Amino acid sequence: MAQPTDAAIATAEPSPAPARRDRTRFLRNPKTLTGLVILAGFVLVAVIGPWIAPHDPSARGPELLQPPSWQHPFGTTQTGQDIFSQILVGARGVLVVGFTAALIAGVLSVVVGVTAGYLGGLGDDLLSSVSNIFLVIPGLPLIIIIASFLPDTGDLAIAAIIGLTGWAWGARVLRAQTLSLRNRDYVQAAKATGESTPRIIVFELLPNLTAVIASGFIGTVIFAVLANVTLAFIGVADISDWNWGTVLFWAQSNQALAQGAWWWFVPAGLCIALLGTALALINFGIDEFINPRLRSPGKEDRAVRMRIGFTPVVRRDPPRDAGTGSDTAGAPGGGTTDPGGTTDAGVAGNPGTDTGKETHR
Amino acid sequence: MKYLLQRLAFYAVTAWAAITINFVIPRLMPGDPVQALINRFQGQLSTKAIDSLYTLFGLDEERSLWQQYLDYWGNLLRGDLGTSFAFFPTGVGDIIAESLPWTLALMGVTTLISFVLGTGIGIYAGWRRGSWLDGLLPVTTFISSIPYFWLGLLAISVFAVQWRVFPASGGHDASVVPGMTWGFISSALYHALLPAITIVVSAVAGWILGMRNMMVSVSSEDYVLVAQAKGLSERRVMFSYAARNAILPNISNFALSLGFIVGGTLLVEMVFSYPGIGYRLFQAVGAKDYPMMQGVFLIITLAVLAANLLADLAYMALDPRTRRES
Amino acid sequence: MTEPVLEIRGLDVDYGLGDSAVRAVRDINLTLHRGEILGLAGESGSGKSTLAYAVTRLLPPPGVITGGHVHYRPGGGGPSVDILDLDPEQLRAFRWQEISLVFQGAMNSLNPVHTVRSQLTDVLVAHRPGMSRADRNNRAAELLSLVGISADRLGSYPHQLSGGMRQRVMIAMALALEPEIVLLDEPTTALDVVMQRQILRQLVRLREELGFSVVFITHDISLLLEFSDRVAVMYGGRIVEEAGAKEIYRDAHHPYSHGLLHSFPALHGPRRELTGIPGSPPDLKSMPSGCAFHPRCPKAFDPCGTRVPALTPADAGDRSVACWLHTEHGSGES
Repeated sequence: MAQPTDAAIATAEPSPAPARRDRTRFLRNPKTLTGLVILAGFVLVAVIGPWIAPHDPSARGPELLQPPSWQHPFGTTQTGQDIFSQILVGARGVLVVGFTAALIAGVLSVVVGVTAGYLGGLGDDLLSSVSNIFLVIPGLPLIIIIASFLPDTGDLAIAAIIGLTGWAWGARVLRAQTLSLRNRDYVQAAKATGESTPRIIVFELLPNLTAVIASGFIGTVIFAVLANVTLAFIGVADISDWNWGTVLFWAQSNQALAQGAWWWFVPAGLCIALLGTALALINFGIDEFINPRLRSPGKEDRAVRMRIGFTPVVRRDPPRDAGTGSDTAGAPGGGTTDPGGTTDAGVAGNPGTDTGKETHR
Repeated sequence: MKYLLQRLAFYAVTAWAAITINFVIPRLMPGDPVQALINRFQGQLSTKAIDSLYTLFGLDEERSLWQQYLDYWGNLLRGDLGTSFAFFPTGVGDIIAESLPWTLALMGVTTLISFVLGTGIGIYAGWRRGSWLDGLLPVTTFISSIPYFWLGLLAISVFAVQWRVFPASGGHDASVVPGMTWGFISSALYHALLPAITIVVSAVAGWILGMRNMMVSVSSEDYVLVAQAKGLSERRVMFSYAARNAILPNISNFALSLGFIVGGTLLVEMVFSYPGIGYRLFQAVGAKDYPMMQGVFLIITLAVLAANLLADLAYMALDPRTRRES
Repeated sequence: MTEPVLEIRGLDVDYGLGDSAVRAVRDINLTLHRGEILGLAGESGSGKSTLAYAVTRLLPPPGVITGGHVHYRPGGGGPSVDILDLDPEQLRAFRWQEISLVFQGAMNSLNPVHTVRSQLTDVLVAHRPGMSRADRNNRAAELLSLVGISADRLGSYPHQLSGGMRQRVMIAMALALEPEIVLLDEPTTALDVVMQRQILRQLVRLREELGFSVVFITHDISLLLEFSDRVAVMYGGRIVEEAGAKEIYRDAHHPYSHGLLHSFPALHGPRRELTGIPGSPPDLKSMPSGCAFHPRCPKAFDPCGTRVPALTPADAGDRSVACWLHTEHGSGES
C-alpha cells in the first residue's frame, strides 16, 4: 500500500498563491498531462468497458488456463473465463469506488480541516485530535474489520467505509493551510468589514485551498483504489462484482502462481499500478504548481547545472574587450586607474571556460 | 517534557478510541448476525461459542450496554481477548502471542531498512536536483503505486515458482523445530528474505520521494545559503544543515505513515502465508472469526502507537525546539 | 581615495535561461574601496540584493550570471582574482575568508537544530584546519563578546535567542575570519528602530577596529545615508547614480534618486517637502524602452524613451549619473 506521498509538508509553508495564477501552467506540466491522459483512458474503459468486452467475464469457456492469444489477449482462467473481459468490466468498479470514497473523504476533510484551522482554540484542538486519532489507527485493518462485520459489501458500502475512515490525512493538510491563510491580510480585511464566517470560508479561503483540496482528493483516490482492490483480493468485499481485486482473488485461490499462470494476475496488477502512477503524476503536477521549488529543471535548464550556493556563470555575449564600452562609462571612482586592464585580458583569452567548470563537473 | 506528556496523553486517548471502536462495531451491525453465523457453521459451534458470540455482538439481553462495556474492559485488562472460532477453543491472545514475534521481526527490520535506505537516497536525489537521479522519480512513482501484495505475487512467481531460489510460503522449513538453534534461525531468515525484499522495494519508493521533496524545500532555506556562504564543506552543508533539518518532517511523516505501512505488510504476510498476525487476520477473515479479527486489530493498533511513541522520542532527540521552551 | 578592494565590471544577471530569462541586473560597474561603507539604495525589485548575491555567486536558482567580471584585490598587494572564474572548491576557500555576509532576516539565517557554538565554530573548522577545539571555542566566545553577548550563550539554540541577539550572532559570525569585505543585506529590517541603530553603530565601531569594507543594502534611505560613505542608487537593474552620501543627499542628480531621497522625512537637518515618486517600479519581464525610469520621471524628454543613458562621470568625476539630463546626447546604448 502506498503511503501518501503528499504535498502536505511541502505545502505547509510556502505561500498558497493569491487566487489568480497562471492556471494553464498546471496543464503544461508534462507530468500532469501524462497522468491526465492515462486517467482519461481508464475512465473511458470504466464507462464503455462492459460494452466492448469481447466475452461475458463470468462465462466459462472450453479453453482452460490458456496463455494470451488473439482470442484471449490476457489469456483465460482455470474455468475458461476471458481475463481481458474481466479487466475491462472490472475497471468500472475500481473507479467508482475510488472516486466515491474520495468524494466522501474529501467533503469530510474540508469540513473538519477548514473548520479546525479557521476556528482555532478549543474547537481546533478537538477536531485535530479526532483527525490525528483516525490518522494513527491503521486504516486497512480497520476497514477490513468493519467490512467483514457488514452484511452487505457491495461497491457503495465499501466506498462508504473507505471514505468515512480515510479523511484524516486531507483534514490535517487543510487545517495547516487554513491556519496559514487565516491571518492573511485579505482574510483579516474581510473579517473587519463584518463578513460572516461561512462567507469568508467559502469565498475567501476555499478558492485558495483548491489545489490542496485537489491534491488530497487524488491522494485519497489512490488510497481508496488500493484499499478496494485489497478488500476484494482477501475476499472481504463481494466477490460476485468484478473488479481487478476480484480477478486477483480468483487467481490466488486457484493457485495461479503454482501453475505458472502469470497472465492471470499480471494484467490486473499492472492496471492498478498504472492507474496509481497516473494519479500520482497528477498530484506531482499539483505539488509543483503549489510549490514551484519542487519542479524538475526543464530541458534548457539542464544544460547549466543550477546549484544552490554556486550561481553558474554563463557568459552570453562574446567577451567584451577589456577597457572598452561599459568600462569607460563606469569607473565610478573617477580618477582611479583603469581596473580592466590586466585581469580582463586574461579572461578574455579563454572564453567559455568558466561555464565549463560549472556544467561539466 | 511537556511535549512528551502531551504525546503520551494523545496516545492514551487514541488507544481508548481504538478499543472503544472495537467494542462498538459489532453492536452497530443490523439484523441478527449470530443466527446467520450459527447457520453458516451448521451446528459446528459449541454452546459456549454461541454464548460468546451473543456477548460479542451485544445481544446479551440481560446486561446494559454500559455493563457490557465495563465487562469488555475488564476482560481486556486481564489480557483476555476472547476465544477464536476457527481454532476453538484456543484463546485469541495465545494465537496472537505466537504470531506477533514473526510480524514484529519482519515489519520492524523492513521498515527500518526502507526508511534508512529511502531517506539516504532521497537526501542525494534532493541535493543533486537536476542530476541523473531525477530520472529515478518516474520509476519510484510507478513502484510506489504497485500494491504490496501484488509485488509479492510477482516475486513468488519469479523467484519461487520459475527459478525456485526462494521458498514460496511459510516462516521456516517444516522439518526444523522452532527454537534458538542455528538451523531454525537460518531457515527463518531464508524464508523471510523474499517477503522482506518485497516490502522494502514497495516501501522505499515512498521514502525517496518524500525525503527528496523535503530536501528540495529545505535547500532553499536561508540557513543553507548561509552555510554555503561560509564556505563549509559540501558534506557539512548537505548533512548538517540541509538533511538534518529535512529529516524532521520526514520523521513525523514516518509516524503518520506507519498505519499504511502496516496495512501493506500484513498483506505481504497473507500472500507469503507467513506465520505472522497478517496471515492470521487473513485466515480469520475467511473463517469469519470475529474475535480473532478484533484481537489482531487491537494488537496492530497498539503496536503502531508504540512505534509512534518511538518516532516521537527520535524527533525530540533531533529537534532542540521540542526539548526546552525558550 | 584609497585603493579598490572589489571591482565589478559589466555584470549581467538573469533569472532563468533561454527565452524565458528575465534580465535582473544589467551592466553594473561599481568599485568598493578599502575601508569604506558603500550603500546600495533602491526600491524592492531594483536588483540591489540580486547584485550582492551575484557578486558572491550565492544567487539561488534560477539566477545565472551572464556576463561581466568581479575582481577581488586582496590587501597587501596580492594578485587579484575574478570571483566569477573560481571553481567550487576555490570558491569555498574564498568565501567568508575574504567576503562574509549578514543576510536579510536573521530569523532564518541560523540553523535551528545546532547551537550557536557549533555554528560559530564550523567556519573555523572549515577554514582553519589546524585550530584546536579549545581555541575554536575561545574564538567563538571572543566573537560573541565582540558584539556584546555573554559567552554563556554559546550553548543556546537559535530559538532561545531574541531577534536582536540572533542578528548580533550573525554579525559575530561574519567577522569570525576577519574578512576584507562584509556584505550587509537588509541586516536590521526585522528589528525595532532603536535596535537597528544600536547594531549598526556597533558595526561601524568594529569596522574602525578591524578595518574591513562594507557593502550595505537597505531600503531604509535614512539609515543608508547615515551610515554609508558613498551611495549607489539602483533602478530597474541598473545603477542610475553613484556619489558620496553627503553629496547625493544635498544634490541628487538623477530624478529617481531625488524622488527616493525625498520620499521619507529627514531625521536630521532642515525640513523638506516630501514628494515621493508616482507610479510603481517596473516589471522586470517588460522593461520600458530607453531609460527604465522615464515613464515615472517628471523630467523625461525625447531621448529618454528610446535610448538607455550610460553611467557617466559628472561634476569633475567624483560622482556619476546615468541620466540624459546630465549627459551629452549621443553617448550611451540604444
